[in-house]
Amino acid sequence: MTAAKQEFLDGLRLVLPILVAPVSFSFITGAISVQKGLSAFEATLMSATVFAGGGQLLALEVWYEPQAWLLVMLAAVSINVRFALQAASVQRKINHFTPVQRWLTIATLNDPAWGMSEIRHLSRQVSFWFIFGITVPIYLIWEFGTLAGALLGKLIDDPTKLGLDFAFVGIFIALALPFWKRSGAVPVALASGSVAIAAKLAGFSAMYVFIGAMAGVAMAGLLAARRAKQVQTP
Amino acid sequence: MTMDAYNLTLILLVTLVTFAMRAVGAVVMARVELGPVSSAAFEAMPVAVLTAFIAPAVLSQGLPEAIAGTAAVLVGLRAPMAVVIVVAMAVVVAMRHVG
Repeated sequence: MTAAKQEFLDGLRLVLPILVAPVSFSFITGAISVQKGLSAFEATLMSATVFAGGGQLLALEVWYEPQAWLLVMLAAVSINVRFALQAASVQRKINHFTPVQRWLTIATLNDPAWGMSEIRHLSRQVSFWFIFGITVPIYLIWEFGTLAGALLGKLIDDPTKLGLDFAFVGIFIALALPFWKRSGAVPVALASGSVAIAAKLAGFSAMYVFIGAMAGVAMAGLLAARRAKQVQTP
Repeated sequence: MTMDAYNLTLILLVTLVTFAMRAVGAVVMARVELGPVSSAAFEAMPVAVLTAFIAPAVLSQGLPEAIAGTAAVLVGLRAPMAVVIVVAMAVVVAMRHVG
């Protein structure tokens, strides 16, 4: 077996146990996409070119608001900004890739590829084929899952009957839980959650996510500034 | 195959913004060292956005959503994502039926 094949299989073996997450996530994304008014083709196209479920769902929430272009961009920036941090970290570990390999890795960067590369890097050099062994199955599942969800979602006349309108809340809770468990997350979550609720009740129909998120980010910045001060003046 | 100019424009926009996030990280941020305050603010963004979306959806809609959201959080402490989604959907449907 060649080294590249071995690396690819290593990535594949690591990603297999977690593939149930993209299966369900992509299916729901497809179903919600057609409920929001995309065609099955458009939903699948969006999954192919964006390849970031949280951003796709959050953008669809504000798809038909006035100034949708701005809100859709804010949605995509705010939930996908983690890719900037992940890419910055991964980039430092893949300098030995060819430019094509590097840009393919960056353009398709996803949470499992990032997390497993970080762990792999602790013991050995990360290879392109290792990352591709993780990303290829996720990407394929993402496409076919979106298409299947979109085709079946068309058949559902009342999405609230199946709780489909609440499925993305379940997805977002599952995505948020690892972050909530981290140290320092509680004050950030309390600030963003309470401000978001207040902004929604005050009538900021689509902006409340952004307003709440800014409150949480401000809280994180304040806490970090206070910690930095304490370090300087013991 | 149905396509719509409005939908395609927004899909293109989300695509460009999402790619820009990945590219900016690789090209710019890999070369810049962030201070403690700005890196804390960046790192807090996912949890801040997710919570700002979840909290109103769970706590300001009604009792079925509040119960279903709480159940999803509790189950999610142990169970994988697929189970969390199913629990959220099943509980909200059941509670709406009761209420």
